[in-house]
Order: sequence, then structure tokens, then C-alpha cells
Amino acid sequence: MYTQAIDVGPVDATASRSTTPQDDEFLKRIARDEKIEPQDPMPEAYRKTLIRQISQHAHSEVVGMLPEGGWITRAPSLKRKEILLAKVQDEGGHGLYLYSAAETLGVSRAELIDALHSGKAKYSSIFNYETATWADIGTIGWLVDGAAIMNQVPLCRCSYGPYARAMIRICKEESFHQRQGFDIVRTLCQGTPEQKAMAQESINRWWWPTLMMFGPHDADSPHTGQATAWGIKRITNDDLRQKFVDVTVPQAEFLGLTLPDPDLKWNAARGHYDIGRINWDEFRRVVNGDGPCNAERMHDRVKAFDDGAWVRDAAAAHAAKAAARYATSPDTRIAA
Amino acid sequence: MLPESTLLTLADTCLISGHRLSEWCGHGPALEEDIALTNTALDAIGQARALLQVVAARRSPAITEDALAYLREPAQFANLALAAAPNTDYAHTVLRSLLLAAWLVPVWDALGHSSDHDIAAIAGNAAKEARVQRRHARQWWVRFGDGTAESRRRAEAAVAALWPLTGELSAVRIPGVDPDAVLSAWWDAVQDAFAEATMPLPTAAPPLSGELAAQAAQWRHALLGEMQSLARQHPGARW
Repeated sequence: MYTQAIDVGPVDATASRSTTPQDDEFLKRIARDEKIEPQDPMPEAYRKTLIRQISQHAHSEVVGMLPEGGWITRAPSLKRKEILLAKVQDEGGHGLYLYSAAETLGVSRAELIDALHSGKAKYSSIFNYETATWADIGTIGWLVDGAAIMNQVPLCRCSYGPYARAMIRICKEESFHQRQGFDIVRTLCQGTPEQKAMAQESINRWWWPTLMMFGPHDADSPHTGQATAWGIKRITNDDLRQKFVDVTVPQAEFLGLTLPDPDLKWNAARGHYDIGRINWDEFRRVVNGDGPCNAERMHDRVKAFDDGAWVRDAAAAHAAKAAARYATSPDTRIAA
Repeated sequence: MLPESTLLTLADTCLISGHRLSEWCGHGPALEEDIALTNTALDAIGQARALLQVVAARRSPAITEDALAYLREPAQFANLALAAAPNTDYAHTVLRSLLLAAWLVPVWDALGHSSDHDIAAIAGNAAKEARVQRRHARQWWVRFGDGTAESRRRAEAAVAALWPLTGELSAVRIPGVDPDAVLSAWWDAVQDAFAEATMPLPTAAPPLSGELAAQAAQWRHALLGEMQSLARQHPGARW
């Protein structure tokens, strides 16, 4: 999954206007579409902006394990149970690649996790919505992961090498996630009337939050220009959102589902679907911590981390003991 | 062909232990460990599916793996009690995995030579997966026993809770599998892990008491109550 387009602007606008000779060379490299690697010179604001974006993305993957993870133990067939377990595991793997990518910029995973737990760092607010029914597992895959793919594919061409390479693998896995979600919803739509109703009710709740994942309208995204100039952002929020809507509406029609937007209609002149007004008040409320599950998600993450402290301490203590034994007697086994 | 009761003992043990492991997904003590433990959950559930598919196909008329997993009553499940023991903390989870995998490795090894070819094929792969689970659990067991005072205290609590459940292992009979050889291999693996962890090895547990069996039945009932809840709300639905 993906962190929505929040906070992608430069963390220090002054620094971004720096014109040192080194920065000129950096901008020329961006213009030539060269990848920037960890050891390369880069403006400080570029580095900090990337740390923030990549870590938000990593946090989103890890927090994103929770809403779906709650259904692993209740998945209604063994096949679905295995697929969901593997999918949530993938999200953890994405978190791991992304924390690693962020670490190449000179920050530690511990610092990043601390920022998440203290509330300083953001994650995608889509995960602050409730997964009330099994249909939500399908909807998250189909719509939320579908939106994530729209956002993420351009990031495979991001100017920062480690992030771009992580995104290539993540996109492959997200593509599987999207298809399994669509398959769940399709199966529900072809099932009993109760199953179909479950799917419709789920789409009713998730459609608008999914559209919010693309972030504010371009006119309200003052930092997009800088992120684009740095090769971090390739396509604007509104263009990505439009692309998602255009792809998804025919899929919903195929499934026989109604998208909950009375203003949704094909605009022949534009060659795109028009949509109704997005409730940005809700978006801001959820981003700022007042969504349906913000407190629960953070509680669960912090609890897992705190509960695991003794496990991590034991591993470190044993490693230190084993290393000490090895130092005095190299024949000692270091690890079991 | 192996009797259905044997296949269900193995399938239900794998399904229920896989389910227990899956409860950690998203809540593990470290991201790497979350991912690793989920692999063992996927392996166990995969083994259960393979066995349940064989059982389902051999029924007359044939049924489905999901009918066996989701529509049987808890009392009809034949899992080892150990598999259903709650996670409690990571030491309990690790010890449960160690004790179960140490038993499953020699069982799968022996079944790999079974004349029941469907099962031999499943066992060949399952033996490799059980070795991974045993190694993973053993590594953590050593860290807990030889880690901090707290990890050792938790490891000791896990032994107190789970060791009595191993009394059941000596009672399991699988046609074509030498029970003494399985138990001997189990002891060797467990003894080796406890020694490396500097944990005292308890004496052999007596057969499961009625009280413990009733406790295990309650664990299974609660676990299946959650697992089967949605499927049972929609009889006949496909997912």
C-alpha cells in the first residue's frame, strides 16, 4: 500500500533554492534523468524530503498490516486465509525495503519508528478506516491497492535510486494484491444476495476515502512543483486520481456495483469521468488524528513494539554473550 | 492408504498451529520476525490444506477441504493439544513451535516413505518446512534461555505451561511409523536445543490428564469459534 500524497513538499524551501555549484550539478543530473545514489552529493532539502516521504510510505505499509490482519483468523476459506496471510506479510516486507531505503539517507529505523510512535510522523490515513466486514478485504485490495499502484508506478522512475528500485518490487506485489482483492469482490458479487450486499456496502464506505488517497487537488498542493523538479513526483495528484477513476468505473459496472457518487458521469468532451466534490474536511480530520481508528492503530503498533522489547533485548544479549565466548574461545558456536 | 483418523490428526495439528502462528501477523516483536513467523504459519496451513484435500477427495461422496475446516464441530477435530496452546507471549510461541516441529520432522521423514503415495508426496515437502520451523524456533529458544533474566523467566514459564502437553506425543500411533524412533528423534532435538539454551530439561511428561485435555478442548473451541465464524454465518456460500 501507499502513503497518500501528503507532505511531499520540501522540508526547507530555502534550502531547495540553494545554487551551490554542487547543487547545479545535482539538478543537471536530475534533468538527464540519472539516478541519485546514497553516496552522491544532494541538497539537504532533497535528502530530508525523501526521508520524510519514504518513511511515511514505510509506516503506511506497517500500519496497513493491521486493518487486514484482523481478518486473517476469520477468513472464510483456507485458500483466502493463505492469500490474505501472504498479502499482509508482503506489506511487512514492503515496510522493510522502505525503511532500508530510508536508512541509506543517513537515518536509523529506530529513529523513524520512534517518530511514528510519538505521532510526529504521518502514515496513510486510509488505514484509519475500519475493516468491518470480509468484503472490506476485497475492497482494500481492489480499490486501495489499485489506487496505490497508480501512485507507485511513477515512483519506480523516482530520481533516488534505492527508492525507485524498492518500488519496482513493491509494484509487482501490489499488482497481485489488487487482483486478489478484485477476485474477492467478484466472487461476492457472483454469490448470494447477502454477499453481494456486503460488497456494495463496503464500496459505499471505501470509495471516497480511496479517492482522498491521491491527496489534495493540484491547486491546493503548493509543493508539487519542487517535488516534480527533483524527480520525486512524476504525475500530479489530480491526474493520478483521474486515471484511477477512469480505470475503476468500468470495473464497478462489470461487477454490477454502484459507486456512491450521484455526480459521477462520463464527460465526452474531456474524455474522462467527472466526479462529485470530495469531502476534504473529512480528509483533514482523519489525517490530523480524528479518524475512526487512528487511536486503535497507534495503540496496536506501539503495543506490538513494546511487547517485543524483551525479545529484541534477549537477541542482543545473547549475541553479545556469544561474541564474548567466541573472542575467548573461537571454537564456540556463535549461533544455534 | 493411511486411515483418515491419522490424516486428520496431522491436518488438524497443522491447521491449528498455523492459525495460532497467524495470530502474530502484524504484531511480531520485529518486522523481520513478523515476516519469518508468517512463513511458518503459511507452511503449516499449506500442509493442512494438502492433507485435508486428500481426506476430502477420499470421502464418498467427496467433500471439500473447507467443509472439513469450517463445518466440522470442534469435538471432531483431532489435533494435538500442544498445537492449540495460546500464544501468551513470544516464548510460549517459540517453545510450542520447537516442540511441535521437533516431533513433526521425524514423522514427515517416515511418511516420506509411506506406501500411501499421496501422503508421501506431501510429507517430502513438509519435512523440509518442518526443519525450517524447528531451526527458527531453536534459534530463538537459545536466545531466550541464554539472553536476559527476563527472557529466561519467560522461557521457564513457557516450559511450565507447555511441557505437560508433550505427554500426548508418546500416545500417537501412525501406521508404518515407528513411534519409538519418532520419540527418540524428538528427545534428541529438544535436548540439544535446551542444552544450547542452558535450560534444564524436564523429565518425560506423563500422559495428558483429563484436566489438561479439557483445557485443550476449550482452547480449540475458542479458536475454531473465531476461525469458523464467518463461514458458518453464510451456509453454502462460496468465497
